[in-house]
Amino acid sequence: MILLGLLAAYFTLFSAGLGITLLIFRGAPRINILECCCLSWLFGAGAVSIALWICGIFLSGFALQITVASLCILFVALGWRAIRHPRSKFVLPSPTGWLEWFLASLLLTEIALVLFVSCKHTLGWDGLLVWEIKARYAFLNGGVIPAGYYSNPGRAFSHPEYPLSIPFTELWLYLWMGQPHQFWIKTIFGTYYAAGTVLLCLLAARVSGHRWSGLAVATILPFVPFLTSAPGGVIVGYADFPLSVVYLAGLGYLVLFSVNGDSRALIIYGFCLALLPWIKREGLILWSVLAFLGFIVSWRRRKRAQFGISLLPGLFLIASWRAYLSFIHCVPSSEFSLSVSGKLTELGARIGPIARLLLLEVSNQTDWSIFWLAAALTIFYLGFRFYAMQSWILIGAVIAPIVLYCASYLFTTWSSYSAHVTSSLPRLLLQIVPASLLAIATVLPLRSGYRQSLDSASP
Amino acid sequence: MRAGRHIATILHTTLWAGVFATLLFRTTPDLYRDVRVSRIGPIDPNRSIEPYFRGLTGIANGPQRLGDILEYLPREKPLLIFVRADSGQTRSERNEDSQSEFLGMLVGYISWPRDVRIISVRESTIEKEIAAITPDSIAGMAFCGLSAPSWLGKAIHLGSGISLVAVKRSP
Repeated sequence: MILLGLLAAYFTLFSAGLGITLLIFRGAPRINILECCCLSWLFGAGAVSIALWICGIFLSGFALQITVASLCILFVALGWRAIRHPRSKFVLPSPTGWLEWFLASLLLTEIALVLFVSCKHTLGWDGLLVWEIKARYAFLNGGVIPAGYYSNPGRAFSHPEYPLSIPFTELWLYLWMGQPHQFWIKTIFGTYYAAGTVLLCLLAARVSGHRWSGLAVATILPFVPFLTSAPGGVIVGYADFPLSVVYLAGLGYLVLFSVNGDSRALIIYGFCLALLPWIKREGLILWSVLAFLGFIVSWRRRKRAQFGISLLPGLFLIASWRAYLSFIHCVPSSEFSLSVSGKLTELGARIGPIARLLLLEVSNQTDWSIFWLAAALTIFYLGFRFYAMQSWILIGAVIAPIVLYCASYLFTTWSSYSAHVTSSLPRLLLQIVPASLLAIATVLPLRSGYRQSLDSASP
Repeated sequence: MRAGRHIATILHTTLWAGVFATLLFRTTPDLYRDVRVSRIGPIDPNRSIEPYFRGLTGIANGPQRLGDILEYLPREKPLLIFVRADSGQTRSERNEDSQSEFLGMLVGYISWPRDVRIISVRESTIEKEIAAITPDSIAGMAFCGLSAPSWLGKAIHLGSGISLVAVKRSP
C-alpha cells in the first residue's frame, strides 16, 4: 500500500511537470525525451509544492490532496493537447561511438550507485530538523503547516522562515503513502541527482557543441568528494543539491537563449529563476545573479520585454512568501543583520579573514579534491581563450555567487563569524558545482562549439 | 605554426586528462567505501530519527518511548529542554556540546504539537536557571546530555542522554 502511494505521488508529480514542460515546448518540431523528463521533475516538484502551499491556505486533508492531484492531471492534459496541434516528435538521443557509449554507461551506473548509497544513509541534521520536520508537522495537520509552528520561538532551530519546495515535495509523498515515512522520501534526492546529471550532460553538450564533453563533465560530478561523502551532499537530504540543479538549468537555458534567441529557453530560464528562492533562502542570491545576467543577455538580444515577463513568476513568489511570513508572524531569522551604523571598520576587518577562509575551503582536498583548481583553470580559459559573451555569462555565474555569499558573512550575527563561514560555506559552494561543470564543459573541446548549431530542439 | 598548434593540442589534452584522472582516482576509494559500508534499510518510518536517537542515548525505539512519556505531561504547558551551552574547551567537550544540542532538537522535534523552549546552559549555572523557573508555568523539563539536579526529585532516564522530570503541580 505504501509503495502504491509512493508511485501515485511520483506519477502526479511528474504529470504536473510534464504538462508544464509540454506547454513550454508547444510548437517544437522535436522534443528530447530525456530533457523532458528532467524538466518534468524540476517543474513538477516546484508546481506541486507551490500548489500545496497556496491551496493549503483554504483547504486541508483529503480535499487538499484531491485538489492538488486534479491540478496535476489538468496540467498534463493541457500539455498533451498543446503538443498534438501541431504534432511534435519525441526523440531519444543515443550515443554514437565507443567513447560516448562508455561515458553514457558510466553515467547510468553512477546514478544507480548514488540512489543506492543515498538509500543507505539517514537524513542529515538539516535534512531532518530543517526540511523533513516541516513535512511531518504539515502531514500531522492535514497537509498544512500550523500557524503556531511559524511563530513558535522554541522551534526556531528548524528555520520556520525557510521556503517549502523540499518539505512540501516530501509532504506530497507522505500524503499519498498515508504516513510520514523517512525512508522513502530519500528517493526525492536521488531523483534530483538523476535529473541534475542528465540535464548537465544535455546542456553542456549543447553549450559546448560536443556531446562527449557533456557526458564527460556529467560523469565526473560524483567524483567531487563533497557531493557524496561530506555532510550536506546529495545523500543526506539537504536542499543545496536540488538548488544547484535548478541554478544549473536556469544558467544553461540562459546561455542557450543568448546563442540562439529561442524564446522557449527564456521561458524555462524564467521558471527556474522562480524556483530558486522557493527551494532555499540563499536561492535569492542565485536569483539576483541569474536575473542580472539575464538582463544583460536580453539587452543585447533586444528582448527586454520578454525578459521582464520571465522575472514575474519569481518576483510574485518572493513577494508572496514574504507577505505570508509577515501575516502569520513568523519568528524572524536572527542570523544576519544589515545594520552597519558605527560598525564599518569592524565589517572591513572581516574581509581579509573571510577571503582567507574561502581560500582554505576551496583548497580543502578532502572535500573538493582539485575541483576548484579545475574551475579556476576554466575561468582562465574562458577569459583568455574564448571571447564570446557566453564566456562572460559563465564566468559571472560561477564567481558572482561566491563573492556575494562571502559578502553576506560580513553581516552575520554569530559571535564568531569565522565559525559561521566554516560551518556553512562548503554547502554554499556546492550550489555552484554543476554550474562550474557546465563552464568546464565549454573549454574541454579544442574548438569552441559556440559557432555550431545549438538549437535547443536538437537532442 | 602547425607545430605550435600541435604542441598546444597535446598540452591542452594532457592538462584536462590529468585533471579528470586526478578527480577520478582520488575520490574512487571514498565512493567504494560508501558503497560497501552498511546496508539499505531498515525500511522504517523512523529511518532517520531512530538511529540518531539510538546513537545518542543507547536505547531502541527512543522516539516512540519519549512520545509515550510526554503523553502524561499537561498538554497546554511548555516543555523546557536544557542543552549544554557552547562552552567546551577541548574537542571532545565541543563534541559533547554539539551532541547535547542535537539531542535537544530531536526532543523538540518529537514533542510536537507541544510548545517547547530550548535553553542552553552551563553545568555550573543550571541550578540557578532552574530556580528562576515558576513550576506552575511548565509541564516538565528534559535534560539532554546534562544531569538533572537531584533535588528536583525522581527523573525518568531515557538511556544515557536524556533525563525527564515532570513538574509536580502545586495543590
